[in-house]
Amino acid sequence: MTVLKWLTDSRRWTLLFIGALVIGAGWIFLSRVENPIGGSSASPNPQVGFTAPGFTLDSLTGESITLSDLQGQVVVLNHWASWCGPCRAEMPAMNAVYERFRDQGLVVLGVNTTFQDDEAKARTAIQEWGLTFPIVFDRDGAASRQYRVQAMPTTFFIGRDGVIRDIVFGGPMSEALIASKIEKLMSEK
Amino acid sequence: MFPIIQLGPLSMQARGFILLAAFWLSAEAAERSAKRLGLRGDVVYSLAFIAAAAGLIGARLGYVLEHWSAYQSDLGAMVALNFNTLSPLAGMVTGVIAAYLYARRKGVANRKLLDALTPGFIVFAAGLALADLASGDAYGSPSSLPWTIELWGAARHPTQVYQLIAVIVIGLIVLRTRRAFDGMWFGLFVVLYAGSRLFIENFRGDSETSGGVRTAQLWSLIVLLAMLAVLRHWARSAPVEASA
Repeated sequence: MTVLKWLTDSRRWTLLFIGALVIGAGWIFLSRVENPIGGSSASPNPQVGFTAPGFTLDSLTGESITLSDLQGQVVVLNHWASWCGPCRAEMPAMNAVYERFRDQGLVVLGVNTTFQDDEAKARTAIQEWGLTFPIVFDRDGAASRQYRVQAMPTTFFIGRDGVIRDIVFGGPMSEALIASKIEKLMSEK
Repeated sequence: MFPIIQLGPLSMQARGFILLAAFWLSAEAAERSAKRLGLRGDVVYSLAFIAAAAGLIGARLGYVLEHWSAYQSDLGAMVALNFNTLSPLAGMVTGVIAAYLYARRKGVANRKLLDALTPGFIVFAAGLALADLASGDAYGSPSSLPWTIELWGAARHPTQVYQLIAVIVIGLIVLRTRRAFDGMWFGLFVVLYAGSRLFIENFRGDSETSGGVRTAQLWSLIVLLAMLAVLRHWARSAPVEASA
């Protein structure tokens, strides 16, 4: 039986081993790349390793916030709605992390999916929770579509270079979870 | 591609759903092949679930240790139904240790058990490729070939499909080979799977690299060569038996 012969016969096995080594090493050499993902030069996509898709949206206070203006800071982008239980449950944790790290260059940006929410209810909720981080309103759903948000909450962790580094689908996230996701990003320059 | 499956009010990531189904199917496959090889099917079935449970716990503990400064003041957060805070490597190590200890207690910690589990590994590897296809992970590099898929803003190599086809072919080869010695199916699967990863990684668009070299390829080659050495040892030392 062939497989057995190749394994038990010394010469055949040596041939097999050296063959695998040479072909494997050769293929690895041919497969070398400089930067396969492309880092910040890659096209914007809602996926780890790609530049975070840009948007400009109105904030709670009426002024507009542009995502690309936040480059140089670590951004936690959280898509939420006032009717979404897990979203409500994780708001205090997000606010706590924001307060803890904002001096070191952390921005938590809450994107209210206003097109499928009630803006008045959302505003009341924000006041009740006493949120200090900025909230923007996605009234036409364009930003949510760009980020392919299909379930809530969905949270994107964006490095100082504007590249998405992690995505958390669902919630509620604990303070420890959020902190664990930004730790490394905060220490980068 | 289809990251979320909506089941009434319950939304679940397609990736998690497929992996869960794949795990269940692979436990079934391992149980059946165990019976065919004269092992107790129920022991193999329990082993799969013990390994998975221990693996999950280990993966979470590993993650918490990696991020100790974040968790030390909030240890309660360790217990959370969240698949985003797992360390795959720690999970695998814990799962394998738990499976080994359980198999030893049941007196089946041997190479025949590895062969019995192999159909399960094949099914799970296929599920993993499908899960990657569903979530758009493990994506390919941009290409102009006629069979590319549109993913993450570019026409790309369908690396997930390549891997799925590779697993099916590997499965056919391995399970059609007559077991000449214990551990043969397992060893063949590991060699061929590592070889397929080594080959397909070349077309990936998300490879981690070190000095330009794709690290997954290095690991694949090391595993492949090591398994070849182990297989030689097993083939020579084990009495050749004529079980199917």
